[in-house]
Amino acid sequence: MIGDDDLMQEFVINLKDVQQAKEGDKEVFENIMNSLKDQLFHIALAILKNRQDAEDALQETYLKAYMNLHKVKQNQFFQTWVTRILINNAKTISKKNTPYFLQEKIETIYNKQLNDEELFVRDLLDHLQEKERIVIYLRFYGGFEIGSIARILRCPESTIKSRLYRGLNRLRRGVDVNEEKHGK
Amino acid sequence: MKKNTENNSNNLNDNNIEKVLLNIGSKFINTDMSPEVIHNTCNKTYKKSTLNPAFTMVCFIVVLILAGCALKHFLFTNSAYDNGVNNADKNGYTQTLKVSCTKNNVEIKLLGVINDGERVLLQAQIFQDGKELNLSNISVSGIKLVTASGEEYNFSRFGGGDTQQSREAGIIEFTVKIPKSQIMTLKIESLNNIVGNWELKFPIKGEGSMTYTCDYSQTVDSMNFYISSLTVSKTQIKVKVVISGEFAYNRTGGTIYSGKEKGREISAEGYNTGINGQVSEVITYEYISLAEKKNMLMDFSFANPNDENGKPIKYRINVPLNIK
Repeated sequence: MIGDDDLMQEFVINLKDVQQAKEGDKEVFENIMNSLKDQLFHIALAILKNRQDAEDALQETYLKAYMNLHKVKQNQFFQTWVTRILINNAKTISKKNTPYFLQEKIETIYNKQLNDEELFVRDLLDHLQEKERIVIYLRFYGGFEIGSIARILRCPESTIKSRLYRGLNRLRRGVDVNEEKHGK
Repeated sequence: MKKNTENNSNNLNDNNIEKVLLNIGSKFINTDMSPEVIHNTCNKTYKKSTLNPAFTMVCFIVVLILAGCALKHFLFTNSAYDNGVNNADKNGYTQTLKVSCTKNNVEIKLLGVINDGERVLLQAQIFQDGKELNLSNISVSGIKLVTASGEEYNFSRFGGGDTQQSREAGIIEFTVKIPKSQIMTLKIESLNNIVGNWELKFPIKGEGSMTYTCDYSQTVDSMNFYISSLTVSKTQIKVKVVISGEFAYNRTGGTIYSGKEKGREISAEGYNTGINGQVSEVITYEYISLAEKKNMLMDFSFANPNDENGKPIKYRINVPLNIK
C-alpha cells in the first residue's frame, strides 16, 4: 500500500504571506507563486501534454490570481484556489487545441525516459473519464490530499474518493480494454 | 499498443499502479519560467490597470461631448421641478420650440413645451439687456395662456432653477387640458415692473389623459381610504381619494409605489365633505408606470395633533390595478 509519505507533500504556504500579498505586497505574491510553480506546471502538463501550452496556462494563472487576489476569502485555501484557476485555464486551452494542432506541438515533457510500464499507464490515463483523470493528476502529480482536491473541484470528499478509487481500478484493469475496443 | 495493453495490464495490480503514477509525476520536467516571468506578469497587470493619462483625457473629452449632445434634448431636467416632468422630458415628450419676443430690451424665449393632457409646461428664458434673469427672482403679472379659440388660463406655477445646462431656466405651468393640436399664445403683461405685453405664439400637440375607475376601499386601524379613480397622464397621476378617520384633516403628504418606481406627491386639492373626520382629495403624484402592474401602494402621512414633536403617522394601502 502506498503511504502518505510516498506521495508528494502538499506545499504549505505561510498564511501571513497570503495576507501580505492580498494587501498589495507584490514581491510576496511573486514568492508564493514561484514556490508553487512546479506543482502547478506538472498539473498543467498532465492536462495539456505540451510545455508551451502548460506555460501559457501557468502565466494566465499568475495573471488571474494577481488580479483577483482580493477575492480569496480564506487564506488557508489560497493554494486550492490558484489550482482551480489553473485547471480552468488548462481546460480552456485544451478545448481550443484541435487534435491535429496538438500533434504538431507534442514535445518531451519528461526529464527522464519513461519505461514501458509508465508509458502504458500514461496512455491509459487518456482513456479515463476526465473527472477521474483530474483527481488522479491532483493526487499523484500535484500531491494534494483528498480534502484539498474536494475544495479545488468543489465536490464532496466522498465523491473524490470514489472517483479516485474508480479511476485507479480502471487503470489496474487496463481501462476496461474490451470496453475501449468497442468504443464504449 | 494492443499487445502492450494485454501484457502490462496483468502487472498493474494493487499498489503498483500508484507507484507508476508517482514515478511518472516525478519525471515531469520543471518549468524554467523564472521569477522574472511572474514579476513581469504582475507588472503587466499593474500597467493594464493603470490608465494612460492621454487615453483618459481623450475619453473624458469624448464623454463630455456626448453628454453635451445628450443634454441638449433635456430642457426640463430641472432640480427645481418634479420628476414627473423631468422623466417626461428624458422620455422625449418635450416639443422643442424656438420662439422669442423682445420688447423694452426684455427678451422672452420659449425653448420647449410639454402637454400631457392635464397640464401645459413651458420652458422659458428671460433676458434683460442681454443678461439672463432667474425666473425665481423676478416679479411678473398678467401671465396667461390663450387657446386658439380665445379661452384664457392663468398660470399655476412659475418656477426657476438650475438646469443641467448650467444656466438659469424656468418653467411656467398652466393647469389646462389641451386635447387638440393648435396654435397657442403666451401673454405676459409686465416683468420686473416693465410693461411689455409680450405675446408668443407657438404650436402645441394635442394630448389626452386616461381616467380609470378604481372604486377600492381599505381600512387600516381606524382609518378608511376610498380610492374612486386614477387619472394617468405623461407627467403625473391624479388620485381621487376620500379619507375618513381621526387624522383625516391632518394629512401631510404621501408617495405612491408600483414595482420599483416611486412617485412623490406634487400637490393636493382637498375639501371637507361635511362629515366628521372625512376629507375628499384629489392628490397629484409624479408619474409612475402602471401598465401591466397588478397593484399600487399608497403611503399616506398624517401629523398627530396630539404629538407636535412626534413622527407623522403613516398608513400604507395596497390598491389593486386592472390597467391594460
